[in-house]
Amino acid sequence: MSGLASLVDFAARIAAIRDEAGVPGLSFAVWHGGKMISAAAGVLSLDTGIAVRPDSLFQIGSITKSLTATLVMQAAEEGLVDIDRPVRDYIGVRVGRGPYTDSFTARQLMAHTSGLDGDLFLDTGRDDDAIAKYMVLCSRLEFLVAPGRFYNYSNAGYAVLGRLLEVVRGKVYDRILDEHLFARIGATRSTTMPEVAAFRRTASGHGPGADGATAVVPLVHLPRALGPAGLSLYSTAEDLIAYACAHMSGESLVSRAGAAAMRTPQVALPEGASWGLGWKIIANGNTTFVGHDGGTIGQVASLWTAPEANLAVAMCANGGRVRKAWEAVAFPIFREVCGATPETAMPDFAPVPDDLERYEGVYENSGVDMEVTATSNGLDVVARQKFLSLPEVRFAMRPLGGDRFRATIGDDDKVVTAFLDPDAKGRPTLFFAGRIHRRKGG
Amino acid sequence: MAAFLKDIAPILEQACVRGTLDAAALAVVHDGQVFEHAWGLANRREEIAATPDTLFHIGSATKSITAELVWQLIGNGRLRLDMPVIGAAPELSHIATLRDEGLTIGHLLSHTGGLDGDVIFDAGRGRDVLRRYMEQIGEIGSLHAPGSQFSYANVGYGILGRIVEVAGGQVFEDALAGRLRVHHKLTRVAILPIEKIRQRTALFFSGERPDYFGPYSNIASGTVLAMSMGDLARWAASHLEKGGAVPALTEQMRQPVVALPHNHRYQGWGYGVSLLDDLGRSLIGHDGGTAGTATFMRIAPHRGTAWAMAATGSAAVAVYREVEPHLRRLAGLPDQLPRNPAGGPVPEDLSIYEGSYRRHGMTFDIAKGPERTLVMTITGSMAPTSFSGLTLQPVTAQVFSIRIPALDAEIWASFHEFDEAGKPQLFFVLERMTRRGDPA
Repeated sequence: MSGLASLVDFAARIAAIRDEAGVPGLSFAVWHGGKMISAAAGVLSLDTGIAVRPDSLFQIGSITKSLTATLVMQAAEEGLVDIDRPVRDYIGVRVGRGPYTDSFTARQLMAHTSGLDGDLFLDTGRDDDAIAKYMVLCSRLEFLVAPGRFYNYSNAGYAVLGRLLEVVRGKVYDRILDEHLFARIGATRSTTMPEVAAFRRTASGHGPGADGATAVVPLVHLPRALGPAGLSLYSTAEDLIAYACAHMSGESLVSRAGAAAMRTPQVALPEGASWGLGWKIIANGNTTFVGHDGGTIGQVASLWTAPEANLAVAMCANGGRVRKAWEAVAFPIFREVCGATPETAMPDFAPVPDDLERYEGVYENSGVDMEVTATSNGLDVVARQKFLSLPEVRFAMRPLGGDRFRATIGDDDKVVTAFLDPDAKGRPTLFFAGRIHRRKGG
Repeated sequence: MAAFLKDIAPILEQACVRGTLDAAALAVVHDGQVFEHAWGLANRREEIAATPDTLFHIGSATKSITAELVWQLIGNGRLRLDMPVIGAAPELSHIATLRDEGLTIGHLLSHTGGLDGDVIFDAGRGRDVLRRYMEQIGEIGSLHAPGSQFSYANVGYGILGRIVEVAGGQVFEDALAGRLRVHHKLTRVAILPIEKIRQRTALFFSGERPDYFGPYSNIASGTVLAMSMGDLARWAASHLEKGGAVPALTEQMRQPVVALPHNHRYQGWGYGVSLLDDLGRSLIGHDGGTAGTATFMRIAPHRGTAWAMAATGSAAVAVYREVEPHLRRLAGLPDQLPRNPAGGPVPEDLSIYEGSYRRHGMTFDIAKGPERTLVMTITGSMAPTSFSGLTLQPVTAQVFSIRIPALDAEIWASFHEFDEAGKPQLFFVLERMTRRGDPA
């Protein structure tokens, strides 16, 4: 990797890109050719001014889901869990309403194909029984589609996997993560416990402040119950590389066969990518990229690997134009090593159909209302959170044909959405935008 | 730099350079001005420098703020100083000592309830933690009749924390945050760990893990709260004389409830503060010690002077002793809390003191030593290892001085409640009472 010949160059590059992208604190680690290089620039928080280092902790959000799935596979290899048996058999409580509650499996939860509605961000407290208590609340969740039928990103589903681990291991999720994952790969900085993160260099999230300038986001209490889905974990770019390496080449977490099974596609996504067990999979050129992105309030992380090339790139960032920073640092590396980047090729835009009104309406799941309105060249969407006190998100979508649309959400202009299951009048009853939303009153 | 800092800064700076301190922070309010300074590393492991806005775990100095919350509720009629503790929160009904001894809120505030009080355990981290702590507390021993003596009791402030919740209708962490952030308008304050992450927070590492973290259950007695010294000094300054009068709240808190027969650290206790010079008329305050961090908060109400200092490291207490005379001078006070008693008649026969004195987790065995001394051995689950085989030198018939070579320190202890045979029934040492428990 001649472009990364010197660590000094890499550090300078990270510093320059951090500057350009307006990211307060940026940390990158790269694994290639059997070596890791890492560099960081900026500050943990614009309030404290404490410098970021490559071993600084950030909230890595949903990348945690991959770790949770790994723990489930590990438990399966130890004979504690059969991932194709109904989860109900293990956790004892009913999750979700209706007949599917007795049939969905751990495999479906890992691949987001359980159909279980997922953005139930309710707080069940800070105690060790947070996940167990949350299961009781999950009894009210709907199955938006039948298990196994379609991809529907489900945070609640990963909390259920966390509970499954607690039950079969007889330990709190956080301890399972420490003992069965971090300890085995020497990732000693990572922790889900804020009182532990408080004695390490740990980043704060940033967003636009009242005057528009980047500022530390207000304190948000992220429910511990959703820790297995990504609301608790603080990790570092370097620890994420150690985790990626365990998947690409080691057997410290799961067997090679188990790791390969996790990166085998289980379900196709509208944009052409697919989902495995705890991983997103993008085939591009001759390369299969395997990774996961994550975000909390004001913090974003990405971990992408090219297992055949033994290459991994991890980023942690705390605000600003993070996607720009990711593409500026990671893409040249992937391009150089693999001749391709971990992104799906976007289909061309299609002519604007003359019946856009049939898409109009309000679609919802437990967490969000999505109001869809037709415009002259596509659809406008307003997303309103039901539980999290976040500002509403507006985005525009342009037609790709075949009930698919391309949306620009924040600085990501490559979001592919889809409408499904039309009713007798031809109006879709489901709207997929990362999650499935059901037409209200429809 | 203010003149007084010229003398103080080198002391703290050199201790940080020598490595006997990791960090120190000092804030002084004097004549309406605030001076804030910091030295060393807030976090040695992570190489994070201490700054004036660095938060320190203030330990038991929290008790003065808990006391303020209690006084606020007394002020609006929801509590009374003489209100029995037993009825103040439903979960307390199983603690027989509270009922049998007739303990009041005033007893708990002033540590005169006789509670055998180091009942510290982890009851969880949720918002209902104080209720759970009370439910799980079990029985609490009684060391002496309420009101008669002083015996520092952490558990008393834990109970007050729960009483604040019940009387105020608010979770304690919210009441504390409201008092500090809204009422006092302080910003460098952290209660929850996620708040500590967002600020620069000092920690001391004696081993692999920092030793700051006490159970969340004991939030009201001081295991949780972290503040910058500037904000603690600003809080303290709210108790300074204004317009020729000391605030009513301060007068209530510094009422001399109990006086000690000696004063190696303080002369007595009020309802929420320790009474220093002139039994609190000239100086009041509170110390705090969570593992590795020592905090000292002082208020000279009539002098317009208040200060707060925190330090992490083995020399924290010793360094404060060097610094304090300079701050006392600034407040027009003598360099040291006047030592008393000066000395007095000592009985010929020291055997009256001999025996075993007990409290929760510790037994103090006192026997005659060489010449006219006593020798003390401490055993039990909470016994400090460095304190064995110590010599007690008589000062008066009641007061003895104890040198602790391991800490290069001298502490004073005293005997109380002498029976008809002249034998003391109580022994006061390390801020707490112990009761004679000789085999019958």
